[in-house]
Amino acid sequence: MLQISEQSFSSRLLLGTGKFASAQQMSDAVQACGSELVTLALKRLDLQQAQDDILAPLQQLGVKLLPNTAGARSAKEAIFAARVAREALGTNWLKLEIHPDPQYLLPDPIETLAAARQLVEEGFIVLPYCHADPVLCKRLEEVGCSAVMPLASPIGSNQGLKSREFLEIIIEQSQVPVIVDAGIGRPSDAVLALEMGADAVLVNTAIATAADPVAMARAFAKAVSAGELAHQAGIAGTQPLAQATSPMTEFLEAL
Amino acid sequence: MCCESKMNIILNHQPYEVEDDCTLYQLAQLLPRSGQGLAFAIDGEIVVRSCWPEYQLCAGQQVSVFSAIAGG
Repeated sequence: MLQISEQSFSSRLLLGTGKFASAQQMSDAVQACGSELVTLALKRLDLQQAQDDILAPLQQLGVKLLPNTAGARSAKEAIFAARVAREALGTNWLKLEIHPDPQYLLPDPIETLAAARQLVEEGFIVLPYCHADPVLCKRLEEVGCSAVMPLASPIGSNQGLKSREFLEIIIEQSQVPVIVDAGIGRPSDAVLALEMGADAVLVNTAIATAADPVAMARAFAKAVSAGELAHQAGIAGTQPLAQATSPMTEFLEAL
Repeated sequence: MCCESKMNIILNHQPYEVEDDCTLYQLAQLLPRSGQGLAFAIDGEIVVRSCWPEYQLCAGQQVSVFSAIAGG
């Protein structure tokens, strides 16, 4: 079971709800993969255009909502967004994300740490999106974050675990769940993350923009299970030289 | 004959006509899902839901309303 703060989850796959063709498709993907913790964004209500209601299907599915602070460029904006999210959705769970750079959407570590400290004090369950920086992740843990969410590669890039070596250090050192977020591009990336010992992964673009998002959601669910099982089974070490698995030489000597 | 009085507030930077004595709660009823999943902020301060019934709006008041949308 994935344990975050006081809550347990059967699924180690968090799902982002962005980029789906419709709320129905998003809902179908959630059901297909069994995700129990899904992210949402907040924005000013568009009074001119009706928005696809994603809240109703998610509430019907009974998943836990994890609003994010996407769009915030500073700790101050993120803190405001967090309070808006809590008021709108009635949850104190929060994915803290502050990425002022529009090109690479890399998280601002200084603003993130400052916001995390304040939001933990205000009673939020803070899951901060951050770079795969082991020192930063330890600082976020120390200020009371309930998990850390280091990136694999830039948001939406599908580049996979570019930060692998640093994720390994974070996983080794973290006392809170490590949820690999951003840039996971295919199910094999999710397998690898779980094999490495990550507690969970968050996937959005790779599922929502797949040719068949619902099938891809299903594939990711299997990948996360496979990775977790492999990690628990104890992966055999690598060897620099070949190690025979069949007694070939004895057969040849008999001739 | 009684005439209904209306006033304009500024809702998400747009003029929005409401009744003269409109409260935040009444404004919420005019919006999608009757305010469910929405949050209001006035002058940068969030007004909690329990205060909506008593919060009287004024003409020209800048009101921000936020809702949940899809996002990762």
